[in-house]
Amino acid sequence: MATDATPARHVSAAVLVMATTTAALLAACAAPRAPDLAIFLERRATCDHLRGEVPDPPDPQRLRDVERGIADYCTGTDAQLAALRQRYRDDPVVTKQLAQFEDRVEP
Amino acid sequence: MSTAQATAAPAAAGTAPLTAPPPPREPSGRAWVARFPTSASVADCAQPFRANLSAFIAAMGAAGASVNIAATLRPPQRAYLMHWCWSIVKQKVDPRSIPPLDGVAIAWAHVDGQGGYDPIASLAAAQEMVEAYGMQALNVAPALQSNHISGTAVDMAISWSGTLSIARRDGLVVHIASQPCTGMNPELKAVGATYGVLKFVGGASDMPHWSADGH
Repeated sequence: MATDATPARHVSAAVLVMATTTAALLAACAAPRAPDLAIFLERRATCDHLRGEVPDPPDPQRLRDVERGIADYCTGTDAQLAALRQRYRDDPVVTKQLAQFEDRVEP
Repeated sequence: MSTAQATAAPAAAGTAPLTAPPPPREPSGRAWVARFPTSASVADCAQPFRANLSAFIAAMGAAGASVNIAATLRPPQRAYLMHWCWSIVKQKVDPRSIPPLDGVAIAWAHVDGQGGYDPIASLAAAQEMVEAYGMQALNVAPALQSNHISGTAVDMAISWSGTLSIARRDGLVVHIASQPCTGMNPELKAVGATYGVLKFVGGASDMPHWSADGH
């Protein structure tokens, strides 16, 4: 007599749990995560500083240094800014802090 | 030409224009890149930063330090040109939508033989400028505002050997025997602060940078 305790039922349930978990993880990865506010403010401020440091050509060494800094401090900050604005939309103090940044500086 | 930036506002019917018509705009392209270069002169900085920086550099020179200035004022016109050519190429900004800037008679929107908007020529000219500025690999829009653009920042390489005996603004001489013997030395940063010349607060992410407010 087949019951809920049969191996086939166990496998089906396990597959269902795995599929559900995987789907939840994928959804979490797809949505931009709001970073820590203090870290973001410092990182984006440095990013914005470096955006003003692009040298006149030809200065390949300085340009490389600036590009390296930009890769470290700017990458992904547009999405993080949007996520933070959403998270803190009801907080006027943080909203004002975030308003100083341009919406889009990345391609 | 159908672009807002290239079209003079029409005078009211029956009245003479109050101002002279704007000069003709020159199409964007490589020729613009050599214009509005970054200065390496302290004299181009804004006051009181100019006087503060001059005094700090003089103190370093008197103490035997080597100071090599790479950049002071970055003209706003240069920032405008860099920002918008990059934005056209990397963010696909419509060249017809770019706001004008006083003193930069550039036509971002090119026209074809029939006088219509030519998006391909406009993009190609912006791409020329991006390449001439060396910004092909740049992954963010160059800033439109900064302390360099305001004339309140300097990029300078500083070095010395041995102990640096340097006067603070109040005349007290500080003997710096610590490492490194560069602008990243914490004791030199403290001396600079007495002159109102502050080392960049972002640490090693911009080693040659000093400014009026540390940014």
